[in-house]
Amino acid sequence: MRADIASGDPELLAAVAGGDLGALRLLYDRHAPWLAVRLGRRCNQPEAVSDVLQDTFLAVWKEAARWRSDGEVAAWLWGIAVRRLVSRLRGHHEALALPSDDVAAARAPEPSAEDKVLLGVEYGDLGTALLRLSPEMRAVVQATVLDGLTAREAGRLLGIPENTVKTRLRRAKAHLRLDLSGGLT
Amino acid sequence: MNASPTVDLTGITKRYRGTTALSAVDLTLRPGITGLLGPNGAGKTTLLRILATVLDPDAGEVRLLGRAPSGSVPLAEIRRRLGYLPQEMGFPRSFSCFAFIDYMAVLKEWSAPGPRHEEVRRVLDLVDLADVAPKRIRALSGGQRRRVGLAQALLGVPELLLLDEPTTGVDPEQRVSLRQLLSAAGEHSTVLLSTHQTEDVAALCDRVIVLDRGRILHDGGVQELVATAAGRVWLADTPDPGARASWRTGTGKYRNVGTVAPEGSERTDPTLEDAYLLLLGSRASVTEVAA
Amino acid sequence: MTATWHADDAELSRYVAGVAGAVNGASIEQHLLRCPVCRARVAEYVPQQPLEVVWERIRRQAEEPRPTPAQRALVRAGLSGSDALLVAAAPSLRTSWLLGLAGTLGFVALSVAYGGARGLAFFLLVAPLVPVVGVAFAYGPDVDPAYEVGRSAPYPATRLLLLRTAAVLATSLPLVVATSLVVPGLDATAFAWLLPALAFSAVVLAASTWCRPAVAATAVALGWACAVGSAALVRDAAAVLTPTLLAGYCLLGVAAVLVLRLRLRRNPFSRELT
Repeated sequence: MRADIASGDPELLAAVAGGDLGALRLLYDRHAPWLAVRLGRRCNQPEAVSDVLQDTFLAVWKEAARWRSDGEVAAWLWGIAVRRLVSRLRGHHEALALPSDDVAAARAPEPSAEDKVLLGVEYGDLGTALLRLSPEMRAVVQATVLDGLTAREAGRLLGIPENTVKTRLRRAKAHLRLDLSGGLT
Repeated sequence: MNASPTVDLTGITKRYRGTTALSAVDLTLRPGITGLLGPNGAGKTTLLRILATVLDPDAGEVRLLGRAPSGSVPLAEIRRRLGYLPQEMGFPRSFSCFAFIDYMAVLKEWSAPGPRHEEVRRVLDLVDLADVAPKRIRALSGGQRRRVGLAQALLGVPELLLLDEPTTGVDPEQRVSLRQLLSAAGEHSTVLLSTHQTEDVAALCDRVIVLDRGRILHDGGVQELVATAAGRVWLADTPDPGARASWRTGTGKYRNVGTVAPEGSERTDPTLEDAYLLLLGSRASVTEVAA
Repeated sequence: MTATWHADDAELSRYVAGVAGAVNGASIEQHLLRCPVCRARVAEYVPQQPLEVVWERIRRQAEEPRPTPAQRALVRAGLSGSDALLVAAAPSLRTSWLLGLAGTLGFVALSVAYGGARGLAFFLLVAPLVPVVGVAFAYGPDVDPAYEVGRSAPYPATRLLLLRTAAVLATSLPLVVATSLVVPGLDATAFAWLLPALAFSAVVLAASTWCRPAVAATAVALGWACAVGSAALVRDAAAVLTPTLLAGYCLLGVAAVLVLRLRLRRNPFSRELT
């Protein structure tokens, strides 16, 4: 099979499974940039991000045949990348970073009109409600719900015990439920 | 500046089970690209094998890169500066391109893995196989396999490059890039290109040797050989029974190649293929040459 | 729902710079999982150079073949990495070959255990031929597809031949010895077969400087089969291992090795038809 720049991600992945390094390069060109940014927002050490990126694509090279044509290739790639990040960061919590203006966002609970549009499209009311959570709770929601990690993995990523993750998640969900049902004063 | 020729063969004879493959062949090669043409069974492959030190002649003197290939030390010395692509080349089962070229590089005495892998990448890039380096060779097309063979011949930038049918099975656009590759190689090495494709010889070589039944029929310039067919190629509406060979061209006219063009016929410029046909006489069939 | 929504350029560049804010960032991230157009737009804001560096590392690792178990074993046995690569490429050192050998020997063991005298004859037929066939399948134009091109390379053919032979003997002989030990009823014959085994291997090696190893191995195998067969018919298969004959095998082996040394000093294999 010829994989070229016009091929979709699934075709490229099939070509990679057949040993086509050119197809891997194309996948890399398409996905490495956003993966690098997303990883960088969870870890402030560029070297660790490079290593995780390298490990991710080497894993793709070896296991491209394992992808079961379900869902987006991008989501599959993120799943591999974030787990590599978790095992890489195990025990090295100083490498973590929450986005720097999380603090600023926490101080400005009222989103701008533009933010509202954005959030409304992606998350609806949930988005604004998320903003009203504390940074710690939001981090837990992001790790489990958005990044798809288990409580254990989220604990490793954030440097907190697994039970704390579960507690915070419970509290966050309760908060959101209350908020969305219209009653946080 | 070393003035001695890269290859110097004198009176080379080789017999196989009763047939004479080569008969008192004299050959001298210097840097540049030389074409070797000849029908099947002419002895081209035997000649290349002797030059590649894979076969010993029955008689005659061989000097390669300034040495005689006898004794393990001179042989190793010669082989270090030599690259050979045989006519038929097999590959060990389940090897990838990279692994096979790596294997050949070890045989060419690249023992340290770092520089060796760099060299493997370099030659794979030269033949445009970098993208499929990790692929199993048996999963590649015939033309790609031929290029793997060519890549191993290019390891270590050899001074003497012996190529037996390098463009077999290679598609036209790849053939163009291979021509560029070979042309670049001819600038600093001695390249002997044995082939059926007269267009490759016409495009790349200044010098051509025509071999038939173990004897050299022509050894000289390409233009010189082409000139021997001047005035002996003509176009007509019907095939001329007096011609040695004639075939219908794309324009609808018949191209006739023969001893002498009839009076008043529409003459046309000869190509190397025409001259080659005339030189071989009735022995070469048109289909064989055009293959 | 997000099919027609895309973040604007300002938002994306803030995201890449790391200042998009937690929830905006999360929104964009979820969107990127589904939108190749915006992924390409993000790529425009990300510096290329560091990504190129990482790609080079990926490429190198992806290309390089990992050492096979055979290569690793040879390196541990003391060979250099490059020698190990050459030796491990021998067909009779591949895992599939060794598995087949183990299977054959299992079969032989069973036949000895349950076959009585015939089983013993079978063992005596097979045991010395195992290394012979292994050596024949280590080197030569019939078994090495890249033989011709390898012969035009500077690496000494004699070294390759001897290294591969040593590796074949080192792997196949212990397997046969193990088989003979496991089977009851073999006394001295449990080890006496080693002498013809080694002698015949040397003969095949010496002959390979004149003709193809496969031809030599076939000749040896046929000769041995006749010897064992006729001994079994006349009296007892173990007759091929009388002390006189054992001494004979010794001499044969020594002679073959001497001939081999003499032949290897000149240009070996150069008159073969490839």
